Amino acid sequence: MNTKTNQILLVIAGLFLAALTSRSSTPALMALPFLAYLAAGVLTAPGDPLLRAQRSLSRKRSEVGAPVEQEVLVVNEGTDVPRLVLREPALAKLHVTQGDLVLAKLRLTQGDLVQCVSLPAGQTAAMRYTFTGRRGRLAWEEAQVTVSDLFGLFETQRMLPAPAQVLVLPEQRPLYRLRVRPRHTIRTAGPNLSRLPGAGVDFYGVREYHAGDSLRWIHWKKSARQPRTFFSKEFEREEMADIGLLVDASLAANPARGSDSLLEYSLQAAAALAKTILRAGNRVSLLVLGERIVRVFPGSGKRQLARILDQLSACEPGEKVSFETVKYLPVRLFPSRSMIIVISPLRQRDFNALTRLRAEGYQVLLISPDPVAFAARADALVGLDGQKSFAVRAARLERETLLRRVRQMGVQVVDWPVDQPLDAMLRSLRWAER
Amino acid sequence: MKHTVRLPFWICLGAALVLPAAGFGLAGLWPGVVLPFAGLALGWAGRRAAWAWMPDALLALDAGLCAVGALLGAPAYLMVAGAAAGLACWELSGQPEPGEHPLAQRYTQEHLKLLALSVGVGLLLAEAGLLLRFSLSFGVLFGAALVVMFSLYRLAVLFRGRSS
Repeated sequence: MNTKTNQILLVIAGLFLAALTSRSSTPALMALPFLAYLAAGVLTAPGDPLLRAQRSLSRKRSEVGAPVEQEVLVVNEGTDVPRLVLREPALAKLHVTQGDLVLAKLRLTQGDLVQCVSLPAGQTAAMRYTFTGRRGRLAWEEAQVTVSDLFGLFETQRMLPAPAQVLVLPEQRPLYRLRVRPRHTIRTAGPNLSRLPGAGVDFYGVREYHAGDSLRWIHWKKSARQPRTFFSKEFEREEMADIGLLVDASLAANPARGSDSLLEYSLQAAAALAKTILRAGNRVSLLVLGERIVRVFPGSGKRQLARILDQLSACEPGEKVSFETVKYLPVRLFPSRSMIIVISPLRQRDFNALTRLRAEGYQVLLISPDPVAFAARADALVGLDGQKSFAVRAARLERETLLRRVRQMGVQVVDWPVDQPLDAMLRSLRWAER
Repeated sequence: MKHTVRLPFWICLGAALVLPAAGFGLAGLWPGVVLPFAGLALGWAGRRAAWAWMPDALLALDAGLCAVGALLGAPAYLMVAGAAAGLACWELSGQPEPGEHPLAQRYTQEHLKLLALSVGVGLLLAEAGLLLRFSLSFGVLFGAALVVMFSLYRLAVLFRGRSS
């Protein structure tokens, strides 16, 4: 029995009471339409329903902002159901907390989340809607159905199992200007010049002719000067490199402003870098330091990209592990002599971690989303007073000093104000000649 | 044909306002003519402020107003019809417009039919009861009221058990 039924009973009781106290039959007769309405509800109330639900999604993996269609079907395998209300209860659980703000993980773009139908025996009711999601895993376990008489006076609520999930990946914007120049390569064919002779297209040097060398490789000019000897051209071998991505996902380093968080930019950058570097033919590994340590071992190809994107999607900010923890981790977490791309807003205390990486011989590139510009941009919308303006200038000076110290260690730095696309900022990268 | 609940709702709302107002007017109870329209203003304010309890409160007020009007001498047939129209209006106010889906259209059609039938039958019985005047002793009336209340209570217990 629900509030609707209680309301009708209350009105009927009130009318009868009025009839009794006034000793007049008129109020009692006035209750007859209400009694007939109630009786109609009783007579059309369904028995025990036999329903089955099924849920399907247009895609199992999506990107932030990309629409996903969902269809929920309910099949009636029992008797006629006069009124069936189908609604999505799981949406109440699909929220993420960011500070004091509770943000919905998904946003409805088309369709309704509640549907009321009459479902005869053997028929199927369908509810379709389109949504876009925030980064992460969106999962549904059940569909909620309410079966009742035509007026909704006597209801039965059921939760029908209908599991499904979709993984929303971070945005992967192309990086056309990214040029990585790893100093060390591994003995596998790839896109990077290795400073070793072998198969390739870049001229490396000249050597004596060996039996089996192609006639097209003969250096005719030099051979003409040495009558009895032939010389062959050598080319620079192109090899694969190991590149590690290290993402700082600690809460303290990644401020949030409303629904926007600096961590989302870091993860977008990591996704874009992984895609670009893997497509170039290199090996990529991933280490994320946040709520927990997330590790993806080095690999190449589309599967490796899928593994990395899955981990980035599920990444949650936290305080259990921070970037400065790197100085305590085993150094061989990354392959020796590999290149490490660190994505971190960087704090003073993180300097020692970078020092350790450089001391162990890693080639380090730091892509640092600017937390000062991020916080100042949000404050600028409400107006900066004198005190805040001074604080912003002091923080900026502190950051510039820190980045200068990092550069002096031999680390390439990209200071990235996140309102600019990362691709534009990569133009500032200048690699030292070998 | 696409079914809609908007037109039946406005018809029932009009009847729920005009019938009691006409009854009060015929009885010379001029303050009573204004009260149904004051209820309309309350309902509009409640809709703007998204007060979920407002439709229930208006139903109780409408039934109470019609009962009081009948007791004060307004024509009983108009007051009973006004209360029945108020009930239909309250039921239709909670119904969303049906979508394009044929099952949703079917539900709206069945719902409107049953509402018209149940409220219509109840209204006819009530109007017939007004015509067929007979006297009942207080004891009989009290006993009848007790039986009705007890039956309603048993129904509620029965359906609470079925729902759980």
